[in-house]
Amino acid sequence: MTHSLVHIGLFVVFGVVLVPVYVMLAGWFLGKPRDFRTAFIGLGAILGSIIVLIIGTAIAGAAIGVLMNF
Amino acid sequence: MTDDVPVERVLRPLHTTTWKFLALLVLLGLGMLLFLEAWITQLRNGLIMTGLGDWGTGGGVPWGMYIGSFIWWVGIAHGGIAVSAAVRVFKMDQFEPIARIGEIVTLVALPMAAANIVFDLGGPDRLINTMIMWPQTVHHSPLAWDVAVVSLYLVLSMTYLTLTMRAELYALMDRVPRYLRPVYGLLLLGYRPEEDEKAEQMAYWLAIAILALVPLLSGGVVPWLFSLVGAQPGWFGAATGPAMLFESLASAIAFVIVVGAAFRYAYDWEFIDDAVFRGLTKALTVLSMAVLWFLLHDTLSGVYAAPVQDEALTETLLTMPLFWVAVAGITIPALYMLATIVRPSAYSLPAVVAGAISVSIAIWIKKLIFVVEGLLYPTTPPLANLYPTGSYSPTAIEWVVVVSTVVIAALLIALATKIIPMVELDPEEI
Repeated sequence: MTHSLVHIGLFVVFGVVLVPVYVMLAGWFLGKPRDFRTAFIGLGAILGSIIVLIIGTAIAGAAIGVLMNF
Repeated sequence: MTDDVPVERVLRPLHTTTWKFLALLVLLGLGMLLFLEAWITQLRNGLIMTGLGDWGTGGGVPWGMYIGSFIWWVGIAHGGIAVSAAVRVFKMDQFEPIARIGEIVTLVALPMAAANIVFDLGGPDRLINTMIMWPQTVHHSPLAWDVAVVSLYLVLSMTYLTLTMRAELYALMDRVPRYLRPVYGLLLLGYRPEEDEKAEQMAYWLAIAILALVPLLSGGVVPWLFSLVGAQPGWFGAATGPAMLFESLASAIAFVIVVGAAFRYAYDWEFIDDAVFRGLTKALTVLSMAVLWFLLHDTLSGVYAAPVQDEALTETLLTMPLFWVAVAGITIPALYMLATIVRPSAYSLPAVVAGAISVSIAIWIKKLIFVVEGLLYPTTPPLANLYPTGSYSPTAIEWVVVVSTVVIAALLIALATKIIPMVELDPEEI
């Protein structure tokens, strides 16, 4: 299987699976009552959770790697 | 918001800790120690400590109980919050008392699913490799899609719980123990009471996204992980997704019934009334019937003029006692639950809980068989020409680690009762 930059996986994930998330974000920012501050707090919660997950996994991985060497 | 829910009763677990609760913590803590002993042994010595082996060459399978349990937990997670989202979107007020329990089940089940991936990979550091390689692998790898969407679901679930709790936590701030206030403060970052109407609207859209994602993930990406790498007999098939979706929803509803009944028993929360459990029982009956229907579909098409390898696999499956244990584990409770619908006097909550546990375990067995069966029989060329039929015997370490995920989940749910109210409260009534 060639590793072309445009592959079906990109369409599946970003073009199909994530559609509900796009609709949700449109609802947050365009829907009434219009309140960008709260919508951005929601977006911040999403981005913050993603960052916590990645950093938490990295720290847990590194810590267990170090501990297992003792 | 829930009416007729006694606020004091719901808040009691935050303020009081009984000896029964402490005994439960000790019991679960001992389970955790056993888990740590098993996992550290595996981490120190490698996956050779498990029953997993090289595909074909060592006569083993690379995926076994860990991946089977991963799919099981993912399914439970997807259905758990779907219950809560459905209550909000379809305004099924009757089920509000168990809506947050569904959310908590999801937030506990998703990390357990991820943990099983970590167990199978050998260590959390390898998960980081998967994340680092994601931009390259997302083009073609269902596993990369899986990592992405399971993480996304966890993030959306966390956001959903936070959004739906902020007004309530703000009203509760002065009524919770002092040590919880920093936690509540963090969840209330930027909170102003004026946001409540907008937060409700955002929770509605989030609930719609979650409901739409359930068939896409539990009936899509996760089964695609198998059916799109169809070198193994038994994995490739267009119906795998829908079948897995119904199995997921059934095990999730079963889990919500068990956890909901445990709360009702432990805290005398009779406001989670029989009408709620009867409704969940009806849903579980329909879903269990659907699981059996897909099983019949797979079996019939597998033994009747199927491709050679699928026919051989299905015939082997029918000789396995474990397969029939799974069939009985779903059929018998389904028949009982159907009887409670036809004849309401036959309903008994303990019996329904026992049935829910049986369905849940049976679906776990089915997941395990699904993962292992194709890997045991490399009948598709060129694999058939290279490897003999394998075998798989889970080791004690696998058993301990997999069962421990249930113990860890129970521990996390128990600890959650000490942090947030398990039933949604009306801020105006607090």
